[in-house]
Amino acid sequence: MHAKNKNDKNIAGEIVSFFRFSFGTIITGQFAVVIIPLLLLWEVVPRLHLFSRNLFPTFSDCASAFEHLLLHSNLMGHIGLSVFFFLIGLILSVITAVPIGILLGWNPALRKYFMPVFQILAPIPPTAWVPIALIFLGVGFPLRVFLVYLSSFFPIFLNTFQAIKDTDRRYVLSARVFGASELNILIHVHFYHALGAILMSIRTGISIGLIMLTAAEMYGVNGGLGFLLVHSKEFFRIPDMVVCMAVLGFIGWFLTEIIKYLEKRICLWKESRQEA
Amino acid sequence: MPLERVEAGSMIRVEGITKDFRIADRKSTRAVESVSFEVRKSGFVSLIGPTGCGKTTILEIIAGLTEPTSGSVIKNNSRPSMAMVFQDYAVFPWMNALRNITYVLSLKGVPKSDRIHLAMEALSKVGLEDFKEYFPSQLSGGMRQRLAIARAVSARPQLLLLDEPFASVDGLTREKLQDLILDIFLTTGTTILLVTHDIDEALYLSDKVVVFSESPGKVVHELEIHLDRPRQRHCTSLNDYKKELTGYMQNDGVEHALRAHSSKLCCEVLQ
Amino acid sequence: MAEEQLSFETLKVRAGYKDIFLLVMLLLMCGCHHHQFKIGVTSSPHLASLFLAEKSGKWDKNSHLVNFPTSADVGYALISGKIDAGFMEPNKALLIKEIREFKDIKVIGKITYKYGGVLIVRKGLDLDLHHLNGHTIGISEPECKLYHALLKDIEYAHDSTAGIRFQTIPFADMIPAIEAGRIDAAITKSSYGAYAKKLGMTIPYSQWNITAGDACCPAVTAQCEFLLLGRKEKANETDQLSRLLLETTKESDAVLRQAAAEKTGISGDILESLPVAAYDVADNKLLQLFITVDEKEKKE
Repeated sequence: MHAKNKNDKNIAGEIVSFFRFSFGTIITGQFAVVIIPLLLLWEVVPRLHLFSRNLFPTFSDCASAFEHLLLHSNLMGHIGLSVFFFLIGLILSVITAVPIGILLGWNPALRKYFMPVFQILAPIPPTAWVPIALIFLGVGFPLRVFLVYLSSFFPIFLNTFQAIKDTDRRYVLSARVFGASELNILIHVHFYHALGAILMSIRTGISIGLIMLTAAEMYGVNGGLGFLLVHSKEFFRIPDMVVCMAVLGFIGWFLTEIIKYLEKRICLWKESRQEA
Repeated sequence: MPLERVEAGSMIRVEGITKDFRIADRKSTRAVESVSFEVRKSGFVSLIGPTGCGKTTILEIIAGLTEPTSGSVIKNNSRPSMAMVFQDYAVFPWMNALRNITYVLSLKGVPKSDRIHLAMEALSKVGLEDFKEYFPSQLSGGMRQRLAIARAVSARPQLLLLDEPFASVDGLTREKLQDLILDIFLTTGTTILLVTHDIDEALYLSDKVVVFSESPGKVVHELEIHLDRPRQRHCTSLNDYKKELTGYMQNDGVEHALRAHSSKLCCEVLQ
Repeated sequence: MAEEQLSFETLKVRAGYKDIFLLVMLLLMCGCHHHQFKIGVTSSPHLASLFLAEKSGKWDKNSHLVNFPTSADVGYALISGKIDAGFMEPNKALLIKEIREFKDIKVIGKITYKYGGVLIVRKGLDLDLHHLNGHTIGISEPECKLYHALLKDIEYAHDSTAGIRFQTIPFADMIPAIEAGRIDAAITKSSYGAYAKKLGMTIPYSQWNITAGDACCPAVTAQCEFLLLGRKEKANETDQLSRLLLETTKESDAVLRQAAAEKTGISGDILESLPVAAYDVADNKLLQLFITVDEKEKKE
């Protein structure tokens, strides 16, 4: 058995590897056995006219709605809008939550001063922030970025904080006895020890952030998938709503897969010995 | 205990160390009490006693990782370069074998150009040179322990602290690793302080054995071993020392515990 | 011991009676539930006649108003039977006509509002007809009569329209667009006036001489603010409601405004400055629009 070499793939190789990693879990024989009957069911049951076709569309209805939205209603534009502002909010929350989490997890004095603030704010459900945010930010892009930022900040911050705080004392002592400075220990011991948990928390942040993005967009007029979802509802286009839901689900899944792949590539040490 | 003058050739002198720990809200527990002993330069001292009698605490105090409640540690050279092998190896899981060693070398100020070859040298000494790219999770327990030893000796420390380093390894590997430590001791002249509960090990390796009582740990006896190295395991002379040691421990009631841990029975077979 | 046992026995008996009592209450409540008549509404001052009816002595005790965020939500609730009647915006009602479940629904009445155009300006912007240059104004479409009337009035005041940017936006999206800052002002149907004023916007210009009827503003959707729809199986209750509304709509404007102010939270002063909507039964022209395909086939 050979240990994998870290740097022997170029960008193209990485991308191929990523797609194999992510789609590989879905495009399997086992899944096909489950999904194909479900899709058939979806196609057939609405045709039994238990409900109006408008309210209970078939799979093909939704597929053609998807095609129509894509070609004529600028679906890619809405997707681009949603994803763009989501990423801004998420990136902002990662670059603030991780350093603050590290700082407070590492330094007990700072923790005593500042942790209570976060402990009070964290339990407030993100949806409870919506009315105040609406008043101060109005409907529009700042609202979206703010709500995505706020909802993803706390899980990332709290998990980073906990992971740094819980760094195994043995590793810290190991480094210290060999003469490492505290900063050196912070970078080489605490951070790496916590890296797995940090990436895990970003996945949580993505889930919650996406929820709040959709909520924020429902108040909007400009566009985005949440807006499209509500707009379709207002005009009684259920297949369009299903398309929006599916696209949102796909985006969430895809972003999570990216993080999982990053974790796999960066945290190589987590792989234990495998069966030969 | 009156303060004696630090003898020339003395590496470390431990004076009246007492350490209390406070666990949550309960009253403090005393781990060790009034511990004093001396470690000579280039000497090999073993600390022996039942599990939980504070031997690890003493080691940590000497390593500067904990402060004693009272007493002091006087070092001849005010900041000797130290290395420690912990009881559960504590090799960094996110670094591969090579990096674990080069990282420690960087902490010791070894210039970058020398790190890799020094690290490979250390790995070869423990027989892990083929595994340099492997991560600890991909190594067996014994291999991780060897890595921890390689890491500790790579920077040629003046003082090497070993905390029950062979506790989790099987008998055969243990003997091999003991010989490795001995080899390092004899070739580099490092001062070594070993904590163990294995009497035979202590007798095989050390110049001096310091016996501890049960918690709170107190020094019960110090035994100098005047045998040339390499020694034969289980030879008569060692058995004599062993009888003496167990005698002292019997007085304190620790003999039974130690006997249980000792993996080799006292035997009369020579050679 | 004996005492305890005794009380336990009594407890058991009491519990027994309690159970029966609860069961009966539950059944009664279910029964009441079945007799309830639910009317779906959105919060709008144009439903003044309804709000006044609710306060009147002739209001059926079993009738309840249920609030929904939008007309579409009223529509979904109506066709799924969760409510028995509802007030919907005409364009939304026309959309759900296509859904098969609509065969259980019929149009009973309409709420109409005096047709006109108003220029709504964002809160904080101090604009009037003479100072529109350099600003963005929303219009429903280039052929819109309201828009042309505005242009005429601006030219009449000897001002130029060259520096004004016009942007097409559907009527329903105009107020949110103003709030979001995409446009500075909009020329829209006068029925949006009350809501705009509630949000703090100003109305420096209004036009009441326009009649609906061109392609841009067909009479039904232009002048009708709401349609009263009801489930066919509840025909009795809906007709009763309709008759009551015909009475309350005749009340004085002041009384109607009062009822609307109480229910919607829009201040009396704002409502003072604007006309009041009126209820009437659905006329044939309106009913024609809502004949479903099934019914057409039946007739033929």
